[in-house]
Amino acid sequence: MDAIVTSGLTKRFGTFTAVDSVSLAIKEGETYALIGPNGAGKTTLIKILVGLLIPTGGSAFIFGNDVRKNPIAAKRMFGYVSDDPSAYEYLSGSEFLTLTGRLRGMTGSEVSRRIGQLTPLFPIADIISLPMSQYSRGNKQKIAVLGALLTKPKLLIIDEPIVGLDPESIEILGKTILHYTKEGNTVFFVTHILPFAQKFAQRTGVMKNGKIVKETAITKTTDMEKLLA
Amino acid sequence: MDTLGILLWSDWIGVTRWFTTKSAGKFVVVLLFILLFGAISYATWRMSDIFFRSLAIYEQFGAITAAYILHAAVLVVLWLAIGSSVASSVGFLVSPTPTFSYLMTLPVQAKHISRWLYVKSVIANFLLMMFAFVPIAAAYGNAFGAGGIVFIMRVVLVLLCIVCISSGIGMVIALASAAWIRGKEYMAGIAGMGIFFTVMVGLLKTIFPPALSKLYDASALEFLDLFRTLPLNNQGLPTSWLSQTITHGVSLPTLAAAGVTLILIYITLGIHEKRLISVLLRIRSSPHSKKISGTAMNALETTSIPLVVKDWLSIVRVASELGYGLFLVTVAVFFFLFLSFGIGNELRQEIWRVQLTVFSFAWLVFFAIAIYLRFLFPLVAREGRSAWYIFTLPISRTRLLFSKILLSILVSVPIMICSGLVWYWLPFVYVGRDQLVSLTIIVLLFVSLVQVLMGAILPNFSQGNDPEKVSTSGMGILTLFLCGILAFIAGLSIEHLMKSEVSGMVYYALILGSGMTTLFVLWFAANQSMKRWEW
Repeated sequence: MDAIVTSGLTKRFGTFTAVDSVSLAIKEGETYALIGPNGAGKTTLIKILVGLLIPTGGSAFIFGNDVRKNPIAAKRMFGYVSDDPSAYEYLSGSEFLTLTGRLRGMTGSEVSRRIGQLTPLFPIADIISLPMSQYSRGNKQKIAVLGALLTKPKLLIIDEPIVGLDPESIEILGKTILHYTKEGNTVFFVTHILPFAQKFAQRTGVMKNGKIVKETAITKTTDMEKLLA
Repeated sequence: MDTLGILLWSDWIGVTRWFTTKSAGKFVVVLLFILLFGAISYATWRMSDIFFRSLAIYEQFGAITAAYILHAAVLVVLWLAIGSSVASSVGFLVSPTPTFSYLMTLPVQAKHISRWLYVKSVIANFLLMMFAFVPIAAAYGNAFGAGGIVFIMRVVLVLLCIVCISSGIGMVIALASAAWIRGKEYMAGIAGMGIFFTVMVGLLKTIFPPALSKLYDASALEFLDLFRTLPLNNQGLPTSWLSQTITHGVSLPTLAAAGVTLILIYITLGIHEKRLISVLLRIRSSPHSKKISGTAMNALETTSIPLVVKDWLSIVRVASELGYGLFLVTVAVFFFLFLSFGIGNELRQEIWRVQLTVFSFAWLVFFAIAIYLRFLFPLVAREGRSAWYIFTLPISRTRLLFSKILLSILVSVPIMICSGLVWYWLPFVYVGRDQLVSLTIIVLLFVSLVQVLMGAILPNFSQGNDPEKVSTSGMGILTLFLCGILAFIAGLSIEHLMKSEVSGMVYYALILGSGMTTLFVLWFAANQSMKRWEW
């Protein structure tokens, strides 16, 4: 089964068409990078998939669940990290993760155990008990990634995964993505950082003016700059 | 234009731009605000007018008692203005705006920044205190034939002296305490309110000593003897000079008051200019790390309502929110203390008792609405920058709305209990207490639900980090008016019930009917609009 399928997906804001009849299919177990210039419609496309925007036309499915007609089932399938990972700054990182787990249906002890498994992923032990208002953008990003991974969803959707991360954390996140897809899961991310897409994605789509204009498999020899040109 | 002029001009641009963008909406907001504050001022004036007129019939005895009460009002307004100035100045120093942070990087002298902040503080305080003080002074003038433009100018002069003094003192207190407060906002808020409240109670006890209540039954000679012992009769008090300016016209005490004001402005501004930058730098350079207790973590792990716990934490962990809540509660407690001490058991006419009961009910609901408007109305909009998170979780939006409703009921419970106690506390309410308590609880419950549902219809997510702006938006003011209408219907019912003009059945049917109908319509609208939210 495909992880993500869209058909003629369109989003208009007044007379401006942000996403223009996009048809996309991302297979289960695939790592797909959506690249494109600013204002191409990448974030809008993601927001429709995760249920933050209502499409003007077309349809979108997450593991066969229509994001409009069956949003709760669709949302159970993915973890999402926004391009602005700020959330509930009055909570500590560990409280945020606990809240996420509880709202995704885990028991308190399950959440606690899972947080214990995930937190060693990034060097955040010193800050996880502090309020997130004191976090840098990078640390908020790390907590948001951990929140997305908490329930081991089959699909990870990340908008700008490495903005604000230090080189060490970028490498950790990249390897996490690789490890995650090796287990049969799917990753769909949007990025401006072409080397990151080249290193960690298997396939890429180029979005311009609301349309996906190119799709190709990524190899070590793929000229990413040329794809964008 | 000099530096101070440029800084004030930039504020003026901000104010004018606020009016010139989306003008129709802003016009409505301003109009509703004017109506709201107009209504509050009118209510204050009406009660003060009745009170001063009742004193005026006692001729010179009434006049000196009224002058005493006006002196008390000057003292109370001065203390309120100092409290307000300290709170706003501390908030500014502890959490400066991005615009001010930018200003700090420019080669602007501290004296210009200090004077700019001072002028802004004076204007804000003047506008705020005007609504409390002018109606009382105007009622005095009306009752004792002292109206006219000269009288108004004297009132404005006195108010200006009060806000100039309080702004200066408030800014200096804030400078002295801000560095200590940072990182301890929660405790500082409680301590600050404790001090404010204790002083307020002390003031009230000073203003209304037991001797005051004996004046009503005293003979002429006894009256004068008793009156001389009242603590505010000391002519050496600067507040006495201010009140005399209103009651007796411009005279030597007026000059003395103006002189003291100028000296205080000079001293406080001097201190502020010297200390402002160093205090700001010290605050920003000190390590700032808040510890969080494990209690909330345990609650999140074990509760079956994690969304409610999360929203509760959004109120109690934000120092500015907690401070505002404490401030409102303190003002409410002070208000009812004032009403209780000031009027005591001296009301013998039934009509006054009814009017004061309705007046107390109106203020009780007003304080509750003010608290709800700040904490319950913005509950949905508060998701703000976190909306990406909550709306992508596998939970239905109806469940989200229910969690907000549940929190609003939980927040309402202590307010309902306190409101119920008020009816047993006020000395002039001695019949129909049970009905008043039940009606107040019903109205407060309706009002809290109206607030949260109205807040869900058009939530302003972009201002989610600033509940003050959310609650003062057009929708917030509309909510205020809707709640006001409900309270008005309830107030009318109380009046008619107390005058035995309606039966208890009619009274409950009217309140329950209007409340249930409103809630039904709002629930439908809120639930539908939840499904349309985009982020």
